[in-house]
Amino acid sequence: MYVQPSEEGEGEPSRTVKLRRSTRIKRPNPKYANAAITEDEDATEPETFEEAQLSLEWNKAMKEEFDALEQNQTWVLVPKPRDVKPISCKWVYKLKRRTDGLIERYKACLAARGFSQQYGLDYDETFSPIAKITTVRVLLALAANKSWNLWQMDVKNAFLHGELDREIYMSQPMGFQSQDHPEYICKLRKALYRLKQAPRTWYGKIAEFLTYSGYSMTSADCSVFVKSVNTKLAIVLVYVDDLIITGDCEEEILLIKQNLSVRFQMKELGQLKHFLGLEIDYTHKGLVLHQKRYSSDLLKKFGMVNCTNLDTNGSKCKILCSRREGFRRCNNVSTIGRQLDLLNFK
Amino acid sequence: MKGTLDYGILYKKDGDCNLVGFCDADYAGDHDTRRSTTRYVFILGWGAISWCSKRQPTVSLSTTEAEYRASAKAAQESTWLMRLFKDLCQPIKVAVTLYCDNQSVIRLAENPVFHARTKHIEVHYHFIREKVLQEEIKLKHVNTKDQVADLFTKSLSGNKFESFCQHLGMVNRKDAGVERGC
Repeated sequence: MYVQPSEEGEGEPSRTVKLRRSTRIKRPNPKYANAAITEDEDATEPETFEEAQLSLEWNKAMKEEFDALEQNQTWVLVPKPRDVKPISCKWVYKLKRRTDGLIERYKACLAARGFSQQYGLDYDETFSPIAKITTVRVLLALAANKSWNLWQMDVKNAFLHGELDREIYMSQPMGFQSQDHPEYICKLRKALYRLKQAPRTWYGKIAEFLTYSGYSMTSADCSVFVKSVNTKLAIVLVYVDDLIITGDCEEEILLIKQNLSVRFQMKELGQLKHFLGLEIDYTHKGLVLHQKRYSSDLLKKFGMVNCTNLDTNGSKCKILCSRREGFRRCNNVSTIGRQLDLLNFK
Repeated sequence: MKGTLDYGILYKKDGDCNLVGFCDADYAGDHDTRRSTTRYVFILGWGAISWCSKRQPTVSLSTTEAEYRASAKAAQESTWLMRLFKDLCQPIKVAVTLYCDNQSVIRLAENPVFHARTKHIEVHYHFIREKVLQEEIKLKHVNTKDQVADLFTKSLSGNKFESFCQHLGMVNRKDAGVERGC
């Protein structure tokens, strides 16, 4: 590599030669814009168990998670069978922040190292159906048209409800080894995060529950469940752990909400307002579907909030062009992905 | 993007609940591969519910062929949508109207004339013909100036753009009377 000699360099200081410097205005690389943001925050998420062990909050969070798993009877401790190679697990730490940036909760999560599972031995099918965005829009349009109420619910620890059909062995979680039998391993009864089949088993569980409650799965989209009671309807749409419940049969909706809360741990979110980055506003005319927060977050993330609006003269082509320019400027895979998401919805 | 922050799709209360589709193709729109672009949009009542703007997988030899493929694609989507509505106990009783701005596509779909220029159009693209015969879809002609699907690929003049946006149910939230600030 060629190294430019420094100006006050060695040799004769009297002979100062003005070097030609680039006149380019230096800007930080936008690629690392995110790195700068995360550095600002005071508390950080530890990467490893050893790091987290030192903090009181994280220890508490791990204890909570471990107790929840025990209560859920996720595994039983067994002596290690001879020809079994247990998969390992790790703790994942996540800081939950409120919208104003303050820390709401320290969340520790035990995740299995699903990548070490072997196809055919530890899992076979992994596909899990989720709702298509068109289905969501159809449902919203229909609900608006018929003036149905829309409710949203969220399942807590959804994946942990799924029951496993294979025998999977896992080593004991770090920091919580059993005192009496440290050499034992965990035989999993229920799914754990990052297991290959976790989403599928969860879908199986909720589908089974809804079918048992008298709902029938629609053939057009496996994530929509319909129950008709004397010409009245109740519809449940499942998007992994988010549920949209709508229909004109108020009694049935109330019942299913109660039943769901009894069967699973649910978080009642009331009227549907945010779903998959879509925001829903209720007006006297109907429903307005928009993505204001998502788009403004995107602008904020890539430092384009203060950009001036360009009058596009109503030409979509120009809008697309300006978006493309945005791609080039950000030069970041995640922007492109997110902008495509945006185009997809809008 | 910043200018369109406040825009959203309005799904209106009450009113009719008809499903209509618009399909169009832009012949040899891709300069590198000379493939055409399919575009279609389905509107339920007042708001757009499903749309697509996608390059076709094969090269078309004529405008008719390109449009025919686009209409077949739209027919696939409409079949799925009809099934979804049926599952949601809101069956669509009348045929879905599919607007197309190409006369020869409509003729071709309605009666099986084989022509030297269309004989190579493959079997599965005759799918739309079957759907028309089963009266699931009704093809109708629409003037190019009312072709809403143009919005997805063409650059349009200001007035046209705004009227098409309105047609798709795209509104500014402020105009729609949103009470709750966000």
